[in-house]
Parts: sequence; structure tokens; C-alpha cells
Amino acid sequence: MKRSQSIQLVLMGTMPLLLSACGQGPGQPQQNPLAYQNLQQCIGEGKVSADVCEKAYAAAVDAQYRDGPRFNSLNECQAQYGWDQCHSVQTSSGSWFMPALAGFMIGRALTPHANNYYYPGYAAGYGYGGGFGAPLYRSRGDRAEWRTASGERFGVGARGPSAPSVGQTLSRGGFGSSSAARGSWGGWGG
Amino acid sequence: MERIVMAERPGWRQQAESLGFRFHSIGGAPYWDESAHYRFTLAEIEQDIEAPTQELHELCMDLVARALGDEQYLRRLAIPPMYWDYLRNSWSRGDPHLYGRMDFAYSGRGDGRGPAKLYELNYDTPTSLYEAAVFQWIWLQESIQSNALPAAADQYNSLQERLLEALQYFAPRIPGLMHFASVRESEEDRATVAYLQDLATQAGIQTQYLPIEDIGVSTDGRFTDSEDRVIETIFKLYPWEFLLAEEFAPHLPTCGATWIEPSWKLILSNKGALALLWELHPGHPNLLPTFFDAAPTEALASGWVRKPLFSREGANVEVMTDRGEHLEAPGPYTDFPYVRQEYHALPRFADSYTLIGSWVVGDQPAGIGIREDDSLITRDTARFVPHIVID
Repeated sequence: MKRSQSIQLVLMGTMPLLLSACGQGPGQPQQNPLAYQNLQQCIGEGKVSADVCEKAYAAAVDAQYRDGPRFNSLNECQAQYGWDQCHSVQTSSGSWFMPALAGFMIGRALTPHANNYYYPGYAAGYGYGGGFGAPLYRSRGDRAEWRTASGERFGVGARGPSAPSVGQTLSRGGFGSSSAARGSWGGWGG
Repeated sequence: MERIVMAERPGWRQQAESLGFRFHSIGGAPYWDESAHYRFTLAEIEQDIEAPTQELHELCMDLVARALGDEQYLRRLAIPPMYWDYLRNSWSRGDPHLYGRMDFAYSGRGDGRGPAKLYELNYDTPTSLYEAAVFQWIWLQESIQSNALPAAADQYNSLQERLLEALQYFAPRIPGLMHFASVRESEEDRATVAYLQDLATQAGIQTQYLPIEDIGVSTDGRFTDSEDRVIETIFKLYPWEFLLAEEFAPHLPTCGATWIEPSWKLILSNKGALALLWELHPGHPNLLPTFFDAAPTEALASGWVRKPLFSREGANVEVMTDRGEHLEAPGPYTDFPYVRQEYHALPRFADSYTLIGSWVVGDQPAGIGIREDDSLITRDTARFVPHIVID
């Protein structure tokens, strides 16, 4: 099917009943794929329990060492992840260079589209399956972006929470003058 | 692709009004027009529209990266140098983009018919969104229910689902309120913004509408709303070329707000992008030969169309058809350079010239909306006509 399965509106009006391409009720908003930069951020935001945060983080660290990108030289690693993202690792099974953990996933993109720039796909639920605890890395080309171990983009990096703030407004009306100057030419959409 | 005449649903006007679609008629003439619809085959939709949309979108995104890295491109696109870094930072930060629309001339498959040709990109302030996403969808559902259309009829329109997904993706990244802004007087723009605000609410985002004229600037250089709350994330249905030219523009790089669409969309909403796409991909089957116009004051040769770098709803577009017929749409966009695009006539169905608007949400093709005009230039009064997909 090439069309939306169901549609609902919450502010603009009430949709006619029985309108659903699959005979279901109105669609429920899906939950978002979740990812955090670090353990503190995950626990602090409180969307999932501290226990889930800790398990996901531990899984990410584990996966980073087990399956994460490995390089023989610092240069190779830096070329891909940036000059400040790489460090050496020495274990009983060998030594190598690897990128730092820049984040970890709670919920996974279920339908990754390789060509997507910013939308890696969306989890129907947190689905603590496949992507749970997957490590995320910074890429060299775009420091605001996360990538999975396989290099797939994982969207813009999460920003830290910030409290809503109030400013002391000095002046208003500094936008909208081009519109006024061009007269009543309908809207500015196209 | 065929145009099919069919009876209107009784009571669609009241339904439109009850669903916030009050601009369904313009000056007494229908804007929403369900006295006919277009019928496509699945192959026409998937191979001739959806696939080229995806491909062109990727060429567009590559063009943004290339243009931001090369001053020559930015100069040719008439982007003010003092904001080059602002655009570059927005791009490298990965400021998210929500949606865009490509306008295609396409007439289906058959003898003498060719691939869809890209007329324009509306990547900064596209409208006709609500009618494509919602009202067109309701029309199909009700027409199937009343047996006016077969149950197998489908529609290439997953706009609402894709938009909701995109906003759900934004939701955890938005620290507090998300503001939605448009010019105070335009009812059509207000409705497009109201629709996106509705979807954002469904995605769990706290929203606030704000006329663009009411934006304030605080003592510490941040933008504020009518209640002095600092603007952190704002969707604006207002052209970037206007924002950058206005009094508050110098605060943009330091205001700390995330703007959607992001400022780098200025590269793609610019008709110069069409010339650059052709320069980079000459002969691409879905592109029309387009060039920066070196002599914009000279008479236009036959078989060419002249368009200002920044223009919307067909305003200030000049056409000289291959038969030497001259058309010109008036408008307010006279203060930028122009491009010349090879004339490629819109297909004619019944008495109408038909343009296909192909939507992209995030980075995925998401559906179409069809506009019909009595003129070769599709203007803001062009009727919106629904469509179905059936084999």
C-alpha cells in the first residue's frame, strides 16, 4: 500500500470515524528510537529505568571491544573518526586502535535506510532487541552525527537537556518586513 | 496516467471547514477540486515518480555539501557572504530537515511521452501539504466506502505517516517548546503550520504558534516569543532569503535556536540549484537544461523560461514557448538574478495544465499532490486535484 494506513488529527479537527485504510482505529503515535551520549544522561532523563540504562551501556562497552571497528594504526582510525576520537587498546588477545564510544542505543532503528541522511528509521517500540546496547561513534565528517559500528548514520547527536528559559525582550518586529514590503502576495509558502 | 471525471462528495465543503481546511475555495472558485481525479498505474508512480524523486533528492543533498564547500557556488547562488559560515555550521551540525517538494512535468507512459522533468524544487517553504496528506486521503477513503471507487484503489501518499515519524524522531532532541511561525495574514500558510503543529503534538512535542512578526530579541541576543520565552527550536514557514535580509538577521548565528527548515535549505530553494544540478549532471533524464541567465534584461528566446533565483507560486516567471508565445506572471520577486530553463510544456488534460508535486519527508519520497491551472504557469490559484493508484 502506498498510502498512510490511518490518519488522526488532534488540534485541527476530529477526523470522520471509520476512516482507516486497514480497518483499524486511529494510529497510535510510535515511540522513538532512543540513544544517549553517556550513562548519566540516560539515567538523568528518566525515560527508561537506571537499570536499563546501565545494562545498555554495559552492552555497548562490551560490543565496542568485541565487534567494534579496529585499526592497526592511529592514522587509519583518525582518518575515519577524527583526530581526537581514537585510542590504543591492549588486551591479552592483541592490541589495536579504536574509536571512543560516543553514545549507545536503547532502541533500534528497525528499518534502516542506507541512503537516509538523518532518519535511520524508527522503532515501533523500544524493542530491546537487536539494537539494544549497540555502540555509537562520532564520524570525522560530521561531529554532530552518530554512526553505528557498521558506519550507518544514526541521526543528529542528542543534546543535553536544558531548562526552558525566559529572556528579557529588547525589541520585536525584526522579522517579517520583506513580507510587508512585497505587499499582500498571499503567503510565503510555495 | 489519466484524468477521470467523477461526482463530488456531497458535503465536502463543510467537512473541509470542520477539519481546518478553510481555504478550500479562493474567491468563490474551488481550490480543492474533486470533480475529477488522476489515475496512475503502480509502475508510473514507483518507477517514473518515486524513484526519480529519491535519486534527485540525493543529487540535491550532494549539491548542498558541494556548494557549502566552494565559495564559487555560494557566490553564484547569491547567498550573502556574511552568512556562509552560518549555513556551513548548520549543515555540519546536522540540523534536521523536515520536508520538501519537487515539481514535475509528467504525463504518464505511452507514445511520445517521456520521463518526469523537474521544474522546480520547493525545499524551504513548501505548502499544499495538508490537502495532499489529509484531505486527499479522506477523499479516497470515503470514495471507496461509497463504492464510487473500487476497494483496490490506492494512493501514493504516506505523507502523514512519514511526517509523524520525522517529528517523533525530533521529539527527544527538542529540549522544550517547539515554536511554529508563519506570517500573520496568510490563512494558507497558517493552515500548513497548524497541520505540522498538530502532528508535532501527536509526536509528543510541546508546541506554540507565533506570528513571525512577533519574534523578539532579548538582551543577550536570543530570540523570544510573545511571552518572552526563549526560542530554542522553531519551524518557520518563511523564506530564508527574507530572514537573512531582515533587521534581526545578525542575531541568527548567535541566537542558539535550531531552525526548521534549516538555513542550508537556502541552497535548494534557490532556482540557481537547478542550473548547478544541470551543470553537474548534464543530460540527466529528469532534469531540464538550466543556466544562470547572463543577460536577464534581454528578450527571452523562443523555447526558454526565465525564473528569478527566489520566487514562489510561479511569481515573476516569464515563458517564451517554442512557438513564440509569450507569458509572464506578475510578482514581487524582482531583486535577485535569474536562471533560464529550457521550455518543456506542462501536459494538458481536458482544459488544464497539470503539475505533479512530489514530496520528500526527511530523505524519503512520501507522496504526490497534483495542481491544475488554466495557464502554463502554475500559480497559487491552481486547483488541487486528488489522485488514485490502480493497476
